[in-house]
Amino acid sequence: MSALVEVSGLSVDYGRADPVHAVRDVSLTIEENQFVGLVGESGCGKSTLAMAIARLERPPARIVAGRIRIGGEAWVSPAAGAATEPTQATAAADPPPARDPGRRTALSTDEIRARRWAEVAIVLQSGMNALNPIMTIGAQFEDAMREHARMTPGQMQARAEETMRMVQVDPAVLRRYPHELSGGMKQRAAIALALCLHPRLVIMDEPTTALDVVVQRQILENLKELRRQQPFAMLFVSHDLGLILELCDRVVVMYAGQVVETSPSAHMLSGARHPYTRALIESLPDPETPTAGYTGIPGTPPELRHIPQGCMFAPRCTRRVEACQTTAPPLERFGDVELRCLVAREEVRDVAHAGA
Amino acid sequence: MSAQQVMVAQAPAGPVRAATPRGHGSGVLAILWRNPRTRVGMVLLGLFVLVSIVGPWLAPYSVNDTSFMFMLPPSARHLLGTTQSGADVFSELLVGTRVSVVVSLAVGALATFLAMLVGITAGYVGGWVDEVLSFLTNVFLVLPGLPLLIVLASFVPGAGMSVIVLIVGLTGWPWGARTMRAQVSTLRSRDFVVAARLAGDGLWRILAREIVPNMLSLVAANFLGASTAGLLTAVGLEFLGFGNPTQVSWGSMLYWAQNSSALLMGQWAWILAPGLCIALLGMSLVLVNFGFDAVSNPRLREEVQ
Amino acid sequence: MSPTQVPEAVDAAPALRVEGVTRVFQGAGRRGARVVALRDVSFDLMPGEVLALVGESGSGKTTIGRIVTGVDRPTSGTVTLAGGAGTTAGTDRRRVQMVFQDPYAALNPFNTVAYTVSRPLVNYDGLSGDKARERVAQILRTVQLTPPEEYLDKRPHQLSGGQRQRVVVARALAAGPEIVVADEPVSMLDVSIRADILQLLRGLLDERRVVAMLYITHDLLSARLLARRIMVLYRGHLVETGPTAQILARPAHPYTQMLWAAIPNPRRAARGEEVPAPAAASGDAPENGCPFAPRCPLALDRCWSERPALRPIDGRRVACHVVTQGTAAAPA
Repeated sequence: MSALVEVSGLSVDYGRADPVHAVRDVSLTIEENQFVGLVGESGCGKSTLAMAIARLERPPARIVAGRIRIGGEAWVSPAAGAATEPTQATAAADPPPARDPGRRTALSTDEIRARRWAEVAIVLQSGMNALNPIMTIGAQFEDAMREHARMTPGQMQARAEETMRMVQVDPAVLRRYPHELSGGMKQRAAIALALCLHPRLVIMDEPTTALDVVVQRQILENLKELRRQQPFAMLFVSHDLGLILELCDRVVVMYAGQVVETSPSAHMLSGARHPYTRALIESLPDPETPTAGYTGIPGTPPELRHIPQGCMFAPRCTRRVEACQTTAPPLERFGDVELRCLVAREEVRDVAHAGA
Repeated sequence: MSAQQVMVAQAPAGPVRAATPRGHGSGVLAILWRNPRTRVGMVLLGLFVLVSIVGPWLAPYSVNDTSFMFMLPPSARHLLGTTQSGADVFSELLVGTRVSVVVSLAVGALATFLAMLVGITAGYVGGWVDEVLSFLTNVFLVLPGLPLLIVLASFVPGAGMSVIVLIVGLTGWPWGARTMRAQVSTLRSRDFVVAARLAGDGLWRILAREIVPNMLSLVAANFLGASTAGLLTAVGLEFLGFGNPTQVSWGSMLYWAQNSSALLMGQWAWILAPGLCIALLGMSLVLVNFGFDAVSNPRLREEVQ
Repeated sequence: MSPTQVPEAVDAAPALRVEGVTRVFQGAGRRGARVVALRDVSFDLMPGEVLALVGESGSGKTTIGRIVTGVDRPTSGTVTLAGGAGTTAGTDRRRVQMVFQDPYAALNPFNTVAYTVSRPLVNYDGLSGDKARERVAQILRTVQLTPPEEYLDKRPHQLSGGQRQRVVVARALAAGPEIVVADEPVSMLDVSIRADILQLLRGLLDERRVVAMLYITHDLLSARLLARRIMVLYRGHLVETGPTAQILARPAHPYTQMLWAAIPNPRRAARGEEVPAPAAASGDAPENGCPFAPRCPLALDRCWSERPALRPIDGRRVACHVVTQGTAAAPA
């Protein structure tokens, strides 16, 4: 009954001296075949979080606390001796990895690499960066499949063609080089590449940001179709809340390195509670309202070196009270919604009690 | 014009953003110092430059003093032994360092300057100017290096330092010109360059303020690479006897040592010492060159400890 | 230094006239690819208005921006400013300025804000030293970078994306242009700060600091916010032009409809309405037909052999045989 992905108390810093606390004490879960959207402005830590989950973080980024379990295996565990503030999530004792009870740390780099692609695949923002410019697309499929699975050349070719068709790209494109393809086609090839080994989790970081709205729509509809054909779970990172609400089952909102609200997407449009989430929704340009302008959120996100005492959003919040400056609100769960806000929690609690 | 500006990674909480410059000279040195390999290179290079300045004063004997027994092996009095004509090898090494280091760096500077001249003009102006200059570059690229230099050098028997610098530098620019041309033609279409044109800036101002500062690490890398190549080529020419045999340099030491069959005679230090110095200077330049990749590409930087 | 004053009465003369502009890119060598980036594009930009040019990548919208600002030249056709001056070159360069898309690429990382914004003042108005610096400070106030002293000596990496973009606008303003071409000015900024920058641009027009603005974007919704008139560009061809409100309420051209339907719309999704995935192109665009034919769900035989011209219908102009022939169902 455990979720496919369980992240608890994860913290990621940039740099050792005077570090930037890019991700602080983040916990989230992704169920099997569930699409989870991770949304926030630039600098909120969403990409850092996504990379850390895939263990693709690079110096100066360092995971400094927390644990990550994927498919029941510990991809990240707190090393013995590292200070980990006990949170509710880590309170229960975590059994050491079965394969080596004596080892303190989680899966080794080799083991993670073996699981990568077959279990966890990733699609980044620009397909152009992910695809090797001097290899044909087909060769890159071969590369991935040979590295992570045992298949005959015939099987590899067949699977590559199959996934290309799934993303609605002519399999003949496999013989081409990345520079011969348009941005949209490259990105779809990158998605096909991610899916070719039937991963259980696909992490996508702003996959459509560099693409046109029509291509984005094609890919969006395609992804909806794909999960019917070959179910997989997805962590979809984007700054575009509208996109996430259309595609994902559940939304996680991040601000200044922390999760501030999570909720089913169906609920979010009208039922979001956190002032930041509400502000994001209000600034969502709505095709259906002719007069809807872009409303902004005044102010700028805080720098992440020196964490203030109170709520990170307080300086920009229209609903702040005295307590917000001095007390950092905890992330609390109310049914299938999580919320980090001293003011909004009162409303949710009342509703929860009333509805119970 | 400000000294080389530095690209320092902004500590992002999101995807790594483009390089960001900060401050002046010390920033570059700090980044170079952080890389252990580069650190070694910088120390070595610094050492050689130091010796090239004070070498002659450190030398125990004058290089013209040929009063000693010839072909002596290393001893306490002659740390590296003596030459065929009775001069002290160690003193020659210290004095000769100046010529070799200066030639190396001067060739680097000349070749880089010419590469910039040709490459930047071709890349920025484009059109037929580019065609002509690229053709010129290709011609020089195709010319066989050492044979050409031998032919040139043979026209000037006993070529001293300046001549060596000239002929090696004048033939060592094409590689740099090609990369600079490529870099400049990309820079040219960058938005901030277009904006400078729209703001009314003229050609020279754009080159000086917009183009060149954004290719400084390429220039530095080019300089180091050309210096390395220049060192080896100059030594090669001197070894073959095309240099001025009476001027003491590492290459001329090798020339005389070879002529005197030093190895056969047991005077291995006479060959080993200059040879080792050449290798070490070359290596130090290469090591520092590695470090410059991190200056221009923040993602390659070592983390601050 | 002030921009050309806009007379109170409506002036019939356009601030900018683009006529029959075609731009062909010819690859090098004998087998170089030939790309027609723009074909026969014509429009007028009237004083006091924001005209939106909407298209995806490959539509030619950036090329138009570059041609209008004089950075590029058309293969054929003309670009004329008010007063009859030809394509913008020489000192006329100042009359049309550009606000670029990428705030990180539009500013030289080595130059301070003061230097960057002062260049047009130095080059076009002969200002220097303190006078130039004062004027820069004034302009920074206009773009709401206050207090200006805090920003003058900063370099781009010390500024946020929104602040950088304001500097880009400031530089454009410093030349005292009549026309500003804004090429995707907010697409690389966070959603929460787009509104401010768009309002800033809108303000330039309302306060008469510039005469007219050409707003280039792929985002129909921001076009709706800023522009009273809109032109939709597909593969270098204008396919629909007219009043923004009407076109977006009832898009006529099949491409405009596709573009509109593609915008993420969570409310529509919440209602359970399905959106047909836009068709992929089937084959290359015909040499002499409608460029949209390979993707068009309504394409007739005629569409493949005869290029449709812009024709007035329903309060706008549409280049589509199906629509102007009236053989299509009424636009949705």
